[in-house]
Order: sequence, then structure tokens, then C-alpha cells
Amino acid sequence: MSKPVKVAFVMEGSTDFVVLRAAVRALLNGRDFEPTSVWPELDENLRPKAEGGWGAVYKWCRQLLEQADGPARDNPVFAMNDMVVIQVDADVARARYSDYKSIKNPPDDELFRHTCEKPCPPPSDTTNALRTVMLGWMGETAVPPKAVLCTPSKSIETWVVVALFPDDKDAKSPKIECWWGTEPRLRKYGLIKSGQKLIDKYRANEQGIQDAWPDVRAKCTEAERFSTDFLALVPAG
Amino acid sequence: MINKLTVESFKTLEKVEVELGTVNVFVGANGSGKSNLLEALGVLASAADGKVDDQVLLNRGVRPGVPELYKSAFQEKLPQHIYFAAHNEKSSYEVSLLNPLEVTRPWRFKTELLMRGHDKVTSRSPRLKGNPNTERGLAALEALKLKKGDGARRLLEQLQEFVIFSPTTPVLRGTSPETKPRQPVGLHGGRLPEAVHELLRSRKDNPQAKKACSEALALIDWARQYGSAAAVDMPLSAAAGASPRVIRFVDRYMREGRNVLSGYDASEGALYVLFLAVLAAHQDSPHLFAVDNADHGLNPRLAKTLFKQFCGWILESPEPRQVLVTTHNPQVLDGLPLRDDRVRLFTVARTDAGRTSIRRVEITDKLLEMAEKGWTLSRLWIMGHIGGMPHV
Repeated sequence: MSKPVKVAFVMEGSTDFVVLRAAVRALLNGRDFEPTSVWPELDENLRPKAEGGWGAVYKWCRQLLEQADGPARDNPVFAMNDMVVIQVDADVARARYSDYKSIKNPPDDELFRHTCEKPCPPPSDTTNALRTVMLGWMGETAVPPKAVLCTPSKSIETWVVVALFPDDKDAKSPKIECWWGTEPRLRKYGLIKSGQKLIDKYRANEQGIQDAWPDVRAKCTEAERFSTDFLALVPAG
Repeated sequence: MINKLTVESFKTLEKVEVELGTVNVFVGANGSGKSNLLEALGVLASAADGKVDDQVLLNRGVRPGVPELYKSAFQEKLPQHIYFAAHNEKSSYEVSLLNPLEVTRPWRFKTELLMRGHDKVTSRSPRLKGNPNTERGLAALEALKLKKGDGARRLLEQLQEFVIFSPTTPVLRGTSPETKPRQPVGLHGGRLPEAVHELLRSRKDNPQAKKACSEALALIDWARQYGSAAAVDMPLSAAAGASPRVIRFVDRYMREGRNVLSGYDASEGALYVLFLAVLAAHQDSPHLFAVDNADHGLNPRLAKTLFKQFCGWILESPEPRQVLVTTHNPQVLDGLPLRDDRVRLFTVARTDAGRTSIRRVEITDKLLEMAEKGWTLSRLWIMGHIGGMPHV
């Protein structure tokens, strides 16, 4: 029995965790892993309702930097895990720090000056810009050796649509990663209701996402990039 | 001292190896397998004592389980046996057991191996001639023939003493009876008044007891004095239990004549303080024991300081003692003297397949640097950085 891979997940929300766990299961192909969900210190009373899940990832990155008091890559969280997956949906590229009052003293980057959204296709123009911004949150210019950045375009729900509803006409489109309609589509399919992503529905479909992961990789460039980066860090069993 | 414990195919512990120190603290989500580890040691202890059945397990504080659930069931094919091993500096004891599906039957010994260094003291296998009783352990019998002080015998004797304490407030208060009585205190905290009395009396001959008693009092900041007294001499509510002795506190704020209260009326935190002081410093306390959920009813700062003191009491004990403790209180982590290699912190988590994974948290210079700046282990634990957190 090979040693379980220790994977920490920093993600926008709990349904993202379900999708990422399904993807990792598929990637590890039967090898066991020890998932840990990581969150910033956050008092929910102080968290404005309007703030999206990416704000939590932002805060975690800033706390990482503060803790390390030097390059974030020196933070012990990397030494304590085989890898740390950091997920932010690429729709965040449309956001600005000034939209969120709780973000104080943000870095002077593209999200500070304007947004970092680029024309799509190709999706990578936007996701690359967002990844640079994310690294800046950690005070890094390159991806730390044990980090895996995960930036689904436009959101992780794109992967869910492709995995679970392959016959959907939009899921078949080569431009699926540039399509903004995935969340309304998941409302239609019952995974999202009244703006809430339904965790029980996501969990019920976890196996389906895992089984369809090769198709998701084939259709979504960011899923492929995530898979390649992840597999490169899996330690030998 | 047991420095390595191995468990295979027991409940969620499919294959676990833990290198133990003197004080071992386990943190993890509910259901991660912390109690399973303690119970595995309870089964091993019973095997080292020669018999494993529901009654002896209960007496050690192991929860009676549904027989079908003792063996790990991760694979399609169930494992043939459950395996346990313990090592001290030079000796080791290994055993594989077959648990019966009828609750009334004892477990059967399949293999046993007691080693002293490279020398085999005794062993058994299914092919052993003479067909010895498989419901009785051979090592426990053979150990009696060894000289006192022999390393292999010491290992078995230490294992045989192992019990799991799970203190509960009603039993500590004396309002509920102790179902697992023993000396010096029952597994749920029964007999605490008598044990406190004995501990206090031992102070004049035992500097460690004196220190523990005095430091325990300092932790109960509202009390000027504590001890125990005959129940008939104490002002007791009718709802209090009928124990012949009760804990007696003198409140430092109330005026004379109205400042004496019993364990029934006192804060539960004070009772947990005294309970841990007894376990650490009473001469009859076992040399190897566990305390499951040791932080009930404790204010976070009290929990932190109590565990710091508890580590000190155990480490300075003239009697060599070894302890395994589980806790859910983050502040406890910040009270542990983890720079001392004898004190070890472990995170316990379930893997994606449900297996229990136990990892030691190594204290690095970077972690100490971060703690210096206020990023303490308790904060990192809650963030999920060291593991052992639920996915909520």
C-alpha cells in the first residue's frame, strides 16, 4: 500500500472542494490521499455577505505571507503537505479590490488598477493574468514549488457542466471555457437553487465528475493545466 | 517506555505506526480515529495480560464494539487477523488476534512474539505443537518466569497497566456512580475525593506530589484551599450523591463560615484539574495510560496552562509514566512544551478512502518563529495548516 498523498486545498467554497476532490481522485487513479481543507482566519461576523469566496482565498494568501515573514514558499504549510492546491475561479478577473470593503491595503496589481480580464478565447490570457495576481497576493513571482494553482475558466462550474451534462449543446462547444452561462445552466439542472450551490447535489454527483475527468481535461484547457501541474508534484508511492 | 506502536487492520487503523514520546497529544476531527488508536492499545494491553474479551476490554476503557466492526473493512476481502506491536528500547511484543463474532467468546491468539533484543523470549504460531489454549496469551505466562527488571517483562508489565480514562462531570462530582472503579481513580473519575486525599497526604514524602498539589491549587484561582472531607461533615445539597467522601474547596471570596463548598457545587474545571493532578502524581497511578477528551469543561486559558503543568508533572515524575491524550481544545497546543522531544503532538485524519492517518507535527525553527509573532500552533491548526481538521 503506497503512502497517501497529503493534499491541502485552499478554495473558494465547499462545493469547489467536492469538485476538486473528485478531480484528484481521478488523477491519483486509486492511490489514497489525505485531503485537508484550509481556510484563512476569518470572523464570519465581519465578512460582508457580498464578498465572494475568492476573498477568503485572497485573505489566506495574505496571511500566508504575513506568517512566513519572507517568501510565502517558506511557510511550513508547504513542508507539511505534499502539495497545496489554491483555487480561484477566473471570473474573479472581472473583479476589483475596491468592490470589497473588507480588503484593506491590497497589492498594486491589475485588480487594483482595473480588472485583469482579457478577451476570451483564448482563456489562458485571462487565467495567466489572474495567476500573476494570485502569486502577488502571496508575494511571489513564480509558483511556489509545492503549490498548484487552479484557475477554472470562467468558473469551476464549467467543469461540472462538461462532466455531468456532456450532451448539453454548450458543453459541446469548443468555446465552453469562454461561456458565462454555466451557473444558469446548473440552475436548470438542479445543482444551484436560489443562487446557492447545493452541496448535497454536488456530493451526489462527485463520482460522475471523477468518472468524466478525462473528458473534462480534453475539453477544458485549465482542467488540463491543473491536472498536469498536480501530477508533476505527486510523490512516488 | 513504549517508543513504537504498530496497529494493522483494527477499525479505521488499516496500517498505522506511531513513534511515541512520554506525553503524546492527539488532535483531529471527530471520527478521525483518535479513540480507535487508544482502543487498539487497550486490546494490545489485554493481549499482553493474557486474555482479550469484552469484559477485560471494558475494564480498560475500550468501548464494547460490534464484533464485525473490529476488523478494518476497506478491502473487498477482510483481513485474516488484527495485528498489534509495541516496542520499548530493546524489547518488543507482537500479536495477531482473531476476534470472535459471538460477543461472549474471548478473542483467539493466532501468533505471538516476545523479543528481548535479537533473542526470542517466546512465540506462538498456528503450527505450534501441543496446541496451547488459543484463548490465552503465552507471553503473559512466560513473562512471569523472567527476572524482575528484565526488559521484555517490563514491556509487558507496562502494557498490562494501560487503561483509558474518560472523565465525565457527573462522576467527578459524585452525582453518578463510577462504572469502572479502580485505584487511584475510576476510568470516569470516580473515587476522586479519596485519591485527592491520598495525594495530599503523600506530599511530605513526595516532592513531586507536593509540587503538583500546589500547582493544581494555583490553577483553581477562586479557591484558597482544597482537600477532601467526609460527606457528613460537609454542607451538601440533597441532590448530591451518597459518596462517603467529597472534594472540599474553600472559596477565597466568600466570608468565613460560608466559604466551604463540595465538588458537587464547585466549577467542573477544578475537578478536571484535580483529576489530571492525581493521574500524574499519585503513586498508584498507572505507568501507561490515556485520557480521552481530557479538556471537558475547561476554559481555554485554563486548558493551556493545565496541559503545560500536566506535561511537567509527567516528565518530572520519579515513577516513569507515559501518557496518550486526546483533545479538541486548540489552546492546549500552545501549552505543550514541544521543544522537548519527549512531548509529541500528532494530527489524526481520515484519508479519502477512510483510513486513519496519524502524523507527528515536527516543531521547526520556522514554526517557532511564527509563534513568536503570534501565529501560534492553535491558530495554524484551526486554519488547517497542520491537518486534523474536518471538511466543514
